[in-house]
Amino acid sequence: MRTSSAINVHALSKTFGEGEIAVNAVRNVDLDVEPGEVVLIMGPSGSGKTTLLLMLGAMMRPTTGSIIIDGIDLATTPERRLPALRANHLGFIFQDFNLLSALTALENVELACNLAGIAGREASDRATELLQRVGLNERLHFHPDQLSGGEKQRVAIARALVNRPTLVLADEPTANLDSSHGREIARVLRELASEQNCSIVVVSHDERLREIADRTLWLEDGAFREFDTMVADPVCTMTVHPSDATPHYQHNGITYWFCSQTCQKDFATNPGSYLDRTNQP
Amino acid sequence: MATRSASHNMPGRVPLARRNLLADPRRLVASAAAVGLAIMLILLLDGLWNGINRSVTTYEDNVGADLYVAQPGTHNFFGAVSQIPLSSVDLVRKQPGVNWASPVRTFLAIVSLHDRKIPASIIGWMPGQPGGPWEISKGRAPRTKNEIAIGRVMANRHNLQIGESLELMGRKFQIVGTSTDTFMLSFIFMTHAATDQLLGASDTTSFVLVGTNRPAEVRAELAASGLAVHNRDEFAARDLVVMTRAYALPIGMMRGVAFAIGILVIALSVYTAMMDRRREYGIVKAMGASRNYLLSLALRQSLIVAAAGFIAGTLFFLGGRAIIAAVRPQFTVVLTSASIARALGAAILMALVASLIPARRLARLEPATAYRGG
Repeated sequence: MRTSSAINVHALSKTFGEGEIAVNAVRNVDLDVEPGEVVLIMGPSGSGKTTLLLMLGAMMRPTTGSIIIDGIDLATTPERRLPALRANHLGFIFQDFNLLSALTALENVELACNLAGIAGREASDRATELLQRVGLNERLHFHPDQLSGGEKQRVAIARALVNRPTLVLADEPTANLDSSHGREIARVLRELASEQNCSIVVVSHDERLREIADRTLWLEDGAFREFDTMVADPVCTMTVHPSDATPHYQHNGITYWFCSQTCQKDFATNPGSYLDRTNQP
Repeated sequence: MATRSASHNMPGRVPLARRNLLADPRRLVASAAAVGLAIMLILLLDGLWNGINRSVTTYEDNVGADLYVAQPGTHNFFGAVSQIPLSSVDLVRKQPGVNWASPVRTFLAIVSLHDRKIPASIIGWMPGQPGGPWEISKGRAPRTKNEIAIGRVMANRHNLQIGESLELMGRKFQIVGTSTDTFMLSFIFMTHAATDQLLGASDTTSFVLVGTNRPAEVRAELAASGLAVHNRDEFAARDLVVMTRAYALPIGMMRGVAFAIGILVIALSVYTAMMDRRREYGIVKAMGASRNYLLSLALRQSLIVAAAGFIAGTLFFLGGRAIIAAVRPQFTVVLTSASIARALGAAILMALVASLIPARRLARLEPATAYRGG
């Protein structure tokens, strides 16, 4: 185990079902994340990203392996202690922002403090400070329905960081944002990771996040693969791993790779309209 | 790094339960109104029950006797068959410590009024002595064997006027006054001599009412002479049992139904409010909410609905009581501190029971619901 790591994942596997119907969602994954490091995990749908994220977030038990955060192995920690671990050591950022609609921005962030055992003035001060840090000092008492998508995600970032967690898990944090807001959120995440020396694991399809990531990992069929071999789908620009099973299409003697049959068909209909958008092969 | 646990009783924390309920004020108002109706029903039934109890014991409450001397084997005042010699009055008066003693005869009679049979409690007493009408609302008390005073409720209900005649057990009496009575008991006061004639039982009486400052000693002395002696509380309690037996079951059942309705309304209200925000609770759980935090959240929401329902129910009750007083003044609705405490207890109990199902659902909620599938 590398003691300098914020999180140390070793030989992590998750198998659903047994016998012939067993599905290996995550296979023998190793991952070390340093304090302040931003790791981006990409991969196609069904590759095991969410399963991995749930295990890292102490919301799903691995079948085998260990997840060490601050010296605590989440894989063997008793169930009753997991909520307090999540509240104190982990932060979560969700694709749909997942703010509580009945609470103001400030209360949403304060609630995370409450769950970690901090209340009253201290919670309020911490929440206010962080919301101001993400540029929402004029929106403290706004409800989520009064905020834009980018503002909601900034509240979610403040909520994830307010307890100074060791690790923040972000699930598609830019998926529901336009490009300018997505870039802004990526920048905020990067800055806060450095400022607070907090590790961030981001699961996303968004190529733009590679700009702020210290490392990008490719997860496919439950295992990490070399990212250098990846290519971009010329239709949707999603990163894909070329293999016999990956949808592909030959045009002018060149093989193009796609994330899905739909993209493959779209491309085959009019290859010329896509070729100027891609760097394949 | 230390791991802190959230206390669900922590002061200064975000009031999530209250915020969630207030986020949908229309639903909260509807729930409070529905629970309020159940609480109102409980309060009204309790109030009516108190009124019935007060009605039944109104004679004992007002006549001022400390002891009742009766035929051995007699256990209650109304509906009892007690006959003792009239000379018992002198025996009682001679006892040391007796301030006054007065004979009273009482029996139930059926009065025919406008082709209807009305049960009434006939009370015969010696004019000028205790035991007769304690308050004459109109006219005067009877003085002769042919005169009666009837209860005000009975007079109003059957449109009986002073000066009219009323036939009782084959004899005609003139109404000379109306007295205080209740919807539970219609009193007809007449002279003791008149009851002697009606029953053909001269030189007897039903009870001797006794006024004394030393009830225990006087009671012991009189009991030693072979007479049954009861105090006011004993007679009141037994009269209550006899007179309210028929009402106890239906009123108890109606209270139970009101209570069940209250539970269902709170449970449904909190359950739907929680299911609407199921995903949000999954997020809270993912963020580290403990099982106890979520259970307390369900309980708090139930208690808020119950508290709002209790306030609404009390207001509805005051309105309902005013309507009853205007439309059916004979029904006495008595609100006591015990009634309020019972209704409050019922509301709290409703909240506790109603929070069980939502709490179970919350406890089972997977924190992973916060994530999209993938």
